[in-house]
Amino acid sequence: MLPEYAELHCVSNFTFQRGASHPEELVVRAAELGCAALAITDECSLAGVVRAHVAAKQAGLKLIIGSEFQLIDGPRFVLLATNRHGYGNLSAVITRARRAARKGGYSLCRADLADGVPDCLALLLDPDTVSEEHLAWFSATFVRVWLALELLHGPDDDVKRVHIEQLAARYRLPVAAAGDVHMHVRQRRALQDALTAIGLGTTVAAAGAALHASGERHLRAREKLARIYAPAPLAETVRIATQCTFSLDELRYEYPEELVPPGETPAGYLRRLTEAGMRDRWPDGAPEKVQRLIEHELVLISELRYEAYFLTVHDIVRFAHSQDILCQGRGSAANSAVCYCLGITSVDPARMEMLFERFISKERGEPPDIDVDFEHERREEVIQYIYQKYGRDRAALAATVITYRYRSAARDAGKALGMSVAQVDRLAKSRAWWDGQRVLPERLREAGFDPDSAVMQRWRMLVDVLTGFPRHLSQHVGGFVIARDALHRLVPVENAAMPERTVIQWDKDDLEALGLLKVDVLGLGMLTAIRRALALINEFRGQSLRLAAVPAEDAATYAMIQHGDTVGVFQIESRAQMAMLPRLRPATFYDLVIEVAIVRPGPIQGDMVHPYLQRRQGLEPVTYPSEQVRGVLERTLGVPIFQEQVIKLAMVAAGFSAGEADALRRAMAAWKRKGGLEPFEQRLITGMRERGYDEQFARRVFDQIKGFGEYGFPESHAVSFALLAYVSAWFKCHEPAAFTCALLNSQPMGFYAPAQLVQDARRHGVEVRAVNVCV
Amino acid sequence: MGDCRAAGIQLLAGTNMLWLCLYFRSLSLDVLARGDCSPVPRVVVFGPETRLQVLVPNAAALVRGIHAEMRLSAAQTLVDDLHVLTRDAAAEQAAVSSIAAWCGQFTSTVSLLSPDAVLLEIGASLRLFGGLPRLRQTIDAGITALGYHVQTGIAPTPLGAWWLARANIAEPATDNEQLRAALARVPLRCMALESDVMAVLQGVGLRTVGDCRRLPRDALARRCGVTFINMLDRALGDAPDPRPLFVPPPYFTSRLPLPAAVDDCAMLLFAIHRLVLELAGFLQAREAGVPGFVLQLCHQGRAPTTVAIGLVSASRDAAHLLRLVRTQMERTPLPDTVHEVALVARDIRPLVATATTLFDTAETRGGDHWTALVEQLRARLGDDAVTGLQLVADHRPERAWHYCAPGEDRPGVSNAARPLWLLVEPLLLRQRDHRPLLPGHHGALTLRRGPERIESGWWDGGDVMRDYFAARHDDGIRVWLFRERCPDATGQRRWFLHGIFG
Repeated sequence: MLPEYAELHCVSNFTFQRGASHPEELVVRAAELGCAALAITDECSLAGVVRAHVAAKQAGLKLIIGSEFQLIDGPRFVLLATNRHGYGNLSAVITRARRAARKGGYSLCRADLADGVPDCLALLLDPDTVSEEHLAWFSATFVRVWLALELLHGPDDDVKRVHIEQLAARYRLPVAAAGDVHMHVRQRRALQDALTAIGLGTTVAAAGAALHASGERHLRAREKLARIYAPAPLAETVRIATQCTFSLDELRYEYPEELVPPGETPAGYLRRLTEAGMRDRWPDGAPEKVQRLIEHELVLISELRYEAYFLTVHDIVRFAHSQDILCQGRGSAANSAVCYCLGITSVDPARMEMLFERFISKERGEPPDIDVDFEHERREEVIQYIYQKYGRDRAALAATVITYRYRSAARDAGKALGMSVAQVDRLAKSRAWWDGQRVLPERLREAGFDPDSAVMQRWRMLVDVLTGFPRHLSQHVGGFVIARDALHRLVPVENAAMPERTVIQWDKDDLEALGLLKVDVLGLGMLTAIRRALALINEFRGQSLRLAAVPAEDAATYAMIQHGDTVGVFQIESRAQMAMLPRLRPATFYDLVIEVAIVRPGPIQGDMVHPYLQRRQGLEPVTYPSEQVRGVLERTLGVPIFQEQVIKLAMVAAGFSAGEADALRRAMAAWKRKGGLEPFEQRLITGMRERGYDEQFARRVFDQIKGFGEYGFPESHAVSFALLAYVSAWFKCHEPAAFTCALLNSQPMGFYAPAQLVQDARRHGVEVRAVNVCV
Repeated sequence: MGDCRAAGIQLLAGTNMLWLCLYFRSLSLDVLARGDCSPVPRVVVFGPETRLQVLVPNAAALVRGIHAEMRLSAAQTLVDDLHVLTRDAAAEQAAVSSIAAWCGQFTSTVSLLSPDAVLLEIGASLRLFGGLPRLRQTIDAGITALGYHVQTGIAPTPLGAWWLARANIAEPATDNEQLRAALARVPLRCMALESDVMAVLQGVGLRTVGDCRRLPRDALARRCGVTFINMLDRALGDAPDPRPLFVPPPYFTSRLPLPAAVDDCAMLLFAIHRLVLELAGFLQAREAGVPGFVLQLCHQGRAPTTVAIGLVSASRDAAHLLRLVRTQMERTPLPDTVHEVALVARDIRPLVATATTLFDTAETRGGDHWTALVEQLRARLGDDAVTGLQLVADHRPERAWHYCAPGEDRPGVSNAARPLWLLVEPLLLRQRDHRPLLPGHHGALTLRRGPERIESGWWDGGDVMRDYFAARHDDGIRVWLFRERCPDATGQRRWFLHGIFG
């Protein structure tokens, strides 16, 4: 009978330059070994726990949240959170330690732990090397204490064991087995040594005693552990694990409370705002179709308890409007009629096809991702508003995990192996951008290295594993997390590189995975330019033109666009676009939507552009294999151009459920990096054939899906952008002087340099005077 | 004025002082390239890895069109096989200190002028060394023999000497009159001014020190600060300029990086010659000698080769020491190319300046018995038979030590229990039922302590994966064994004997 075991001391590669395995790898391995639980205890950090959490849910493994610390004036130990309160305390301790030191380090002393960190368990590491004084302090400070027994086939394991047992008897403390795990399998030993060398800034050969003596610090099989340990310390680990019941899922739904006025419920408030917005948008009453759509959305939002997301963004957008800052929602949020009513997006559900499931779906179980573009020059005002409204202790920017890419991995691996600066430089630059992720032997030969030499093989091995490892945390540009209570009890906050700036330890993906309230505040140069243009025109002509009042479907504007005369126009000013415009000849708003989406690598690689143009020009017959397919593809002449169409096709023609179709969309986006479209291929083609479509059609659709890759545009996104494209084109056509002036004042932005914009303005008959500097 | 304080820290400037300044104009390069005299184009670079710039080109590179501040990539297009060296500021500092110590043989008053100049007060040494021209020539020749390019300036004030050296004005100025005349021609950049002061002076069209002196003092002070005026006064001898005295270190150590890895004995001796000359100067300055010293030949990626030179009696005769080195080197095989040579001499003994012996004799002259014992053992058994042991930080037991010169061992940290005797090569043992058998001993081996797992060394082709055990044999002998973790070709995991306790 194998003993039960829970690994309670384990660092992942988020303990930079120490851990040699991804959190996911550790979780999967622990599950394979049949561990009762795994604690990820990165040093003074919780940066990797969300990834571990997601992997653990999939693998069916119990995950414990903890962290390892080395005190300035005390011993090394691990703290494990037992419940939400304990977790908050742990996060607060990490925050205090990190804020007290420069970026990348931490500083914790005994006084900081005077309250004993309630609801956390404490595991004292290397108790046989700890002084009497520290041991006594440790035992007195924490409520539930264990001594860790880490037998790693060192030179004096027996002596160590006896010594620790004696200490346990003297201080009446239980002993628990632990593994000082730095990697998931023994084979990572070389990388772990290399990381130590990199951390010390030296080579592995010179690192000497700093390297571990063996590769024993990995997740070991329970048979092994049974041979090394007596049953009692192993059983103790399970006892500890049982006391830890906290799961990161408990962090969901902690929304800020001030979003909803007192006396109202979130759902009620949202409905009230939506209805007010409806009256605003459709003074004569909203169409039947829209009313049904809104009802459907509100019900789903309420069921999934996502009101807070909409209310938060609505509040920010309201602030922006009050300050005359132009803004527009983008991405999948434009699929939502509720967002339109709340003024977040500008895509009119009465005129466009909406696919709400693209935005929120029950199957996905993920909170909505509402990204809003603001004028890039005034984005900072919006950010300050968020800080001011929620306070700096409740709102913070998300982190970005800077990972090792090929160049940095090549450099660090080369330095660790003792190569010279010149050699390392040549290696780092030896890759061509089309090589993909692998290191090609030919490339190395070209750079003057022998890829089969022992050194180069070691180097390649290191680079292969090191690529994708986290290096450090940096501040994300615009992703905010907003907490209900103190943020640092939700996730640890540490110092960023710039003074007076802080960053949380989780990135956007982590926040999404946990369902925390995240808002993306992005900047768009064209919005700045448009507002400036409006201001100039109004001042010059004494009017008060608003963005929404720009005349729609103006023939002169479309004529200009069809000639490819689009320097300065949003999204359709690049050379590729200018080449396409005379061929596609957009004449209506929807044509612009297609134009924006079609000149992209995705549709080009998926071979959609040519057929579309042929059909548009009437050179090819437009046929649909069935009525359902017509319903999906009619507006793009039978050629799938948008992501939503692919999803709908999969649902309608191959019988995918909404959730499955969404999974297909995600696989589409990531397959170039990770592969994984094969299962869908089978399903899609079989599904289509079952419904009577021929093999050729099915194959073509699948090839188009592959071509989409990560570049397939969501229709809603294209619509949002097409709106701005149209408005900027209208300005260019009717008010070229004001428009050019606005563009110049909003630099840097757009595709063209100021000189080119000025030249283009001149060509259109705008009088451009000489530079006049008044002092 | 003019008396030296007993503590010897500061020296008041007074009358009858004469300063000689040695200015090392290409120190960064000399430090790295003086071990090799071949006319290969070389540059020293500085800056971030992605934007390296040339700091100093050598003569061969200068001739091919490379100049300072040029981007390295540009320089490399001019010269294909350009030899690139990275600046080593620590080595530069160490070099200046070494040179200062060497200068001590000419005067007891040496002062450092950072970062690349040394001052000697030679007023008191002129008679001893045969007059100014001869002293200057001796010093110049000596510095050149050490491998450095130097410009000398001679003046009654330290700053004056420095500026003249920087301006490469060779005529000595022996009194303040001559000094004023000489300094008049010295350009501003030789004064090593702060950039803002420099900007002010250049801005009003001044070009030389003479120009500065022609302006009214108070106006100059207002624009350039009182510090500037003080500096001028001190340079021209109108104000005292006390200089901190250089104190040489108690023992000698000097490194000489070789610009290109070398395995040729003659080229190594060329480099070592430089180091021996430095040592000789250092010893001369202290009127001391050494009974022996150690040469370290550093290789890439392995432990350095140590060559210990022992003498019967202390000496500081450069030629003699070099002869001994040559003899020793002929018997020392080099396992790999050498990229750096270092010389360390810790045992410095007072030696009265009498003629040193030309031939080694078997007599010892006092000194400690340890050295005498070593000398005798070596004489009888050969130099190679007598060595010391030194700990190396490596988890692999066979790499955790190496030979060194006797008495050269540094205390190392090792907290693992290791046997006193380690076999040079682990001995393969026969097994019965997976248990090891000790050759030549009947009876059983009992494993007492272990396994201690050692898995390390993958980076140099010497990866080991072993479990070590301390075992005791029935007839009392205690041994250190290991078992390989990977089975061999026959599927067995082999046992080896690696050491013996007690």
